[in-house]
Amino acid sequence: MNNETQIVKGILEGCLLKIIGEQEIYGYMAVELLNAAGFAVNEATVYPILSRLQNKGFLRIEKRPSPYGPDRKYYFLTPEGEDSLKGFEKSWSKINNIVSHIMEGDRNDQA
Amino acid sequence: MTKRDKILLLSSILLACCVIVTAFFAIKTQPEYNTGNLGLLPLISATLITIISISSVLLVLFKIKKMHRGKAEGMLTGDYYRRYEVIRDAIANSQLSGNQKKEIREDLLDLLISAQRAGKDADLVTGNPELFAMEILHSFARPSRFAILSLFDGMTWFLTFIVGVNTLLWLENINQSYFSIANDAGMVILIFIITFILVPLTKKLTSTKNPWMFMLPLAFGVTYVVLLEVSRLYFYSFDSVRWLLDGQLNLIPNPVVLVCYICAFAILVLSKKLYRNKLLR
Repeated sequence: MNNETQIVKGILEGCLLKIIGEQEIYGYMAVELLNAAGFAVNEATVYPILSRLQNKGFLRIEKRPSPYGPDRKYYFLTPEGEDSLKGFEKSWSKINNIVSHIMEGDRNDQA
Repeated sequence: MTKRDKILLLSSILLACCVIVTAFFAIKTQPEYNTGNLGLLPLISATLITIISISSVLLVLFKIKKMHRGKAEGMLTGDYYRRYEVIRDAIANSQLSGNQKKEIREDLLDLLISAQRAGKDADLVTGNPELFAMEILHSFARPSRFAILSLFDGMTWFLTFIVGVNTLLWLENINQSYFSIANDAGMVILIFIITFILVPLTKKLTSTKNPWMFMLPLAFGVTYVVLLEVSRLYFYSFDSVRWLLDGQLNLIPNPVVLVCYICAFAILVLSKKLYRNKLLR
């Protein structure tokens, strides 16, 4: 797996934690929300990330009847998930600042 | 029934037929058969093998029917169902617990039915279904941990086969002591290959889009027998070949060894359960 994919997956994990922290969602809805936000992701990318977050204990689930098919799984943040989200926000802010700084410097050099 | 199911059923029928024919062929080649002194036990043993073989086919048929009984699975059509089958089989063949497998199956159905209803292309939703299944499994544990759990299975099945074959051979020769029964070296090696290599390999390969991989156990069995016979014809002068074809191994020489096998079996089953709970989740 290349670095770019790993980075995107890490970012997606953080974004999913943020989305789940704000509203109750189910798997398919998570894909739709991420796509609406501008990511080009499919179910095959998002579901394993949700599963990983659940296995790490960052998400708890609640099963509710679905209008079709089996019961639908809704995701909620656990206290550990909230901590992880805070950690991600902190790291992201730091990385974002560093990258922005370098990119701006890069542009200045080019100019 | 899908093409995948038909091939799975066909492979189980062919395998059962091979086992049944071999069991009765073994009786026919016994010297007692020609002299008319064949006891009842070899016949009982062959009948038992036949019943087990037929039961295994019925079990496969029941599993196929059970998989299709779900209303939700019936909602998936065409390419969506074909892709779902590949992912479902990969998860079913994995080392996850029954509950974990069920949970993933339900999640997948919800995801795929929702995407299908939204009119999305199945290829865009699942991508490569084999990779999708692999990503799901990796969300539980690293591949090396699954390999360790497979090793537990291999050891458990190896012990089961050894005791099972020994018991079957003893039933055919009940006048002998249970602990004097010897297994053919070729048979022991075959059991080793089946439990440690063929079963994990078949599980891995049948979790792909190619359903003909279900024929692998049968193809391997036939190839193994042909290779042994070819070796007998052309390489019998070699000591190692002679040992493989005619050598005998007494793997349960006394009651202590049998008790050790039974204890090891129980320890392996328990250890796997504990190890799985610790590793996965």
